[in-house]
Amino acid sequence: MDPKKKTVGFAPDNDASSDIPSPGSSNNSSAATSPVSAFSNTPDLDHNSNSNSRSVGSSSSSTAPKSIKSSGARSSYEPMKSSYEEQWGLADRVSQKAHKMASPREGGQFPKEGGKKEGKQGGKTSGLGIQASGSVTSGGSDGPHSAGPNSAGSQSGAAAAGQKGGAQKPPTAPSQKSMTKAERRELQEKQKAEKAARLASGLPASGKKAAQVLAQPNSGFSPNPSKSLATSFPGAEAEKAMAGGGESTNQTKRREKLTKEIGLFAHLDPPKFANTASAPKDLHPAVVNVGLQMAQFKICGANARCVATMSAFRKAIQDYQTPPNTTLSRHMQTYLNPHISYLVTCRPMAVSMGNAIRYLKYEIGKNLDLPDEDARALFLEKIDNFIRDRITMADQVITSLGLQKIQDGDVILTYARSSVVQGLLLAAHAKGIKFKVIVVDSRPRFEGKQLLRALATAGVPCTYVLLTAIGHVMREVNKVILGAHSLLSNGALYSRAGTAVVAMSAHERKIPVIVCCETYKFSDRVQLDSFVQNEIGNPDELVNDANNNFGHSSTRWQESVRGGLSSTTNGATGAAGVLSGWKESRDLKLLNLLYDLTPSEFVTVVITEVGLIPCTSVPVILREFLPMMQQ
Amino acid sequence: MSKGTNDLVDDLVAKLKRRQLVGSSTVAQATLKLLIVVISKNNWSKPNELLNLVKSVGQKLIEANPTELAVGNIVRRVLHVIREEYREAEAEKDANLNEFQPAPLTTSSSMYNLLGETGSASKDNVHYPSSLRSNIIQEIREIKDDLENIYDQIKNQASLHIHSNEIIMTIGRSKTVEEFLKMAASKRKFQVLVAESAPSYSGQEMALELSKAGIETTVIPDSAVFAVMSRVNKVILGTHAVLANGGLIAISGSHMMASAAKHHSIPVVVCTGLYKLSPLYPYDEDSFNVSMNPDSILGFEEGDLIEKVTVTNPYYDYVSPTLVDLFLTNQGGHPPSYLYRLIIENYDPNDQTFDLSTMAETLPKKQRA
Repeated sequence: MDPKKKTVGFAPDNDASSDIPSPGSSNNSSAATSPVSAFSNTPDLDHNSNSNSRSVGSSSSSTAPKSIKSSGARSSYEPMKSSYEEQWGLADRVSQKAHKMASPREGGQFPKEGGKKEGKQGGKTSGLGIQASGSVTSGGSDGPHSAGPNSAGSQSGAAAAGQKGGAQKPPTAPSQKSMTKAERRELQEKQKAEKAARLASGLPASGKKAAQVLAQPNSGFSPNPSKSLATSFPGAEAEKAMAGGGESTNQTKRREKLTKEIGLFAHLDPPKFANTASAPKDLHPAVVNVGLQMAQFKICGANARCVATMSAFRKAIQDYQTPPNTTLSRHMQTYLNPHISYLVTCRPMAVSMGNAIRYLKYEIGKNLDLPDEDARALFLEKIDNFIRDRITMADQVITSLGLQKIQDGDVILTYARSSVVQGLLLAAHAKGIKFKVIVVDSRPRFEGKQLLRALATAGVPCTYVLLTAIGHVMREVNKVILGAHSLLSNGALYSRAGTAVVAMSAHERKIPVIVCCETYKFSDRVQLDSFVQNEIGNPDELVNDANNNFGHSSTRWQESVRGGLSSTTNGATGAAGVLSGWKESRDLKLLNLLYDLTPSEFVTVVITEVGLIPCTSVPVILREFLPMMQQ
Repeated sequence: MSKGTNDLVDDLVAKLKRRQLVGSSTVAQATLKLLIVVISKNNWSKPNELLNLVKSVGQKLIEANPTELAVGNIVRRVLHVIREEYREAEAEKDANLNEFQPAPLTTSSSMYNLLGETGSASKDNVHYPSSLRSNIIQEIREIKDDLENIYDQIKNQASLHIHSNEIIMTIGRSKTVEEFLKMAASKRKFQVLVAESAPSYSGQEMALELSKAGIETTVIPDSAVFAVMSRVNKVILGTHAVLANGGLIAISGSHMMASAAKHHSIPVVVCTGLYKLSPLYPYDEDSFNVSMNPDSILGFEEGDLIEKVTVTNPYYDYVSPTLVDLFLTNQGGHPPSYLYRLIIENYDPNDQTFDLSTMAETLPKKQRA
């Protein structure tokens, strides 16, 4: 059968694992061998439909051994979770220790327990046993995350559990294949309802945490022994209530701890560490992929993120199959919503993404009555047009407008890296204008290095300094060109942290500050300071490497290599820097703020695709001009 | 100059040149120690002899590292003390010789100093009492004691300037600020935000020290300075040197922090010992700056890039006096506009420029090296 066809609303598990490079990729082969069970027995299904699965019961014993393998992708996230907690020091240290010590034992004991329970509970536990066994196939071999200290022991335990579970009792997890369409729909609806309930009850919206909640008692190495006891409760509801309650107190504890860490910014979301586990199951792999890359800052920058998101949605719409009893355009919104909320769980939504998604939703809502294929074609076209008109073409127009402002002999200062500014500077160089660029950069991401490399390779004379030297270099500058994350309705520029300092220094010396910003990044939000809305980055990025005293190149090299990888490994594996013990210190905190707000008075002009405007004209453009353009 | 002292001078010169001695405080103490030895171990009888001796040693030290302004400050301070002692001795003698004439103006009058110095040349043949040498040494030792107690004198003002629940921002590591905040922490509860000051990252050390003292400390990257400035109550800076106009030579990043504070109308307080107060004037903002190894900004592993781009790593920032609200010195709090007065009190006008000519010569030389 064709897997693509079957994916519809349910998780295309095999697709997901093949598209996503990181954890779970080794699952690929096993999934490929059993495409049927790959999406017929998805973990979420197991968790969320416990009662259901019991009723459907031992319908398809033959598919079970295959599903052992395939479901592994999800359950192998368990060790990931524990390493996540270690990295962040979120979990109580004591309990963590207990966890470590207990896990092998627990894992070892579990099979018996599982076997016993199976006798009592039948379908449900056997399904769970199968799930735990999944980590055998995939958990050990792949992903940097799964190399947690307890993964080995727990895996063997889980393996045993799985094998026993598989061998002793015929697995009874429901196969979707065996269900009727109506049943499947019902199941889906149920999942959705449960997700909503989860959200409402203050549980994490992310599927990952929820998966923890539900998987912990089952997978055999939960940190809390009492939770594994919960498995012996007959009622799925009771179990869930208990696990849920435990988790939510856990959650508040965590929250408290994090709040303490962040201080002034307690109202902002703590930095997120999405992994494939956090992806709810019925997401399109392209979106999951983009979400992960954004979470790891591999896709970074307002434009890049927006384009990536829209392209992923395009793929999702392309592969979308209308469920029965509805039309594509009517169901599309409900289909996209979990994707969108998943992206938010990966990293707070960029303004550019928000605007693009709003536009897409608007188009969907406008064309509810189109036949499916027409609607699909229309939406795909709208996405293409959006990217073309609002981003690609807009950048070209901005470049051509900006070229008029760059003259021979100019010394242009820019901060960090903006794709538009980079394009503009390269275009100016290609045009033969003789100018010099000063790239100002700052910790922790050093994004300006990318720009520097691009410019230097093209042959533009460049100077590279860190932000602290801004006062030193500003004297020779005669133009400052900046990129933007967003322009707010009060004219404030919301951009990479540090932009405000640069703009202020230029303003102080009466140097014009030019901001390049496409109009789709304009926001109707207003903001007066950098506190109310902002994003917190991983504080571990601020922990320096061994030789923080004028940082030796060798250690910095390590850092840059590591920085390219998942940023969370930075502090954990880095040579001891000055701040490496910050988590142990009660009074020491690190704040890694990603954005700041530049008051409109610092910005001389904004170059947009609709012309050069003062930044206070943002609301005018939003109100008058854009509706006109959309006509 | 005797052989022994010469060796000592050469030793200190070498240390300064190699930057084995850095930091205003250590440099100032080393200079003072050396000058005491030079003055006590050498033969001199006339004021000019002594002054020239001290000047020649001072000149060597300053040339060794012209950016350590504290060296020059200490030399000038010693010269000032010597002149004062001579003046006192002369005044006493004059009073003895001519009892009808009242003693001339007090020595603290700057106008008198200006005139008195020109007149003193004619008094070369005057015989000075033998106690003069010990008096001078005594005075210099007092300066030394002052120097050692400077942190105490500054930090004792802490509770006058920090109130409860305040949010203080600082940048880089300054011993003076550290002591100041620790003292304040013993009486008040407040938070400190420390900017790291890349690429030296000395702010991280500062944060670590403060947190060890039980102060709630948050490290912020330099980029977040403007973003969080609006919630800060006070910016407290340390400095490498204070110039005659009240401007600072402080760790790089100080300027942006002070400007951000100015934009938000947040007071900027500078904690400094008076030994950092230099009578020199910054005719160019870069006069006293040092360019450090750019390796910490763009390492050699990025060799392909390095050959194409310029990388600058200035160690200091010039902060103009308009950005500073208050100087907290060992003599109390002063506005920047008052500094000229302190300079006149501490240094003799004749000495203010004694090495400026050599400065002009040595600066380019240093840059070449």
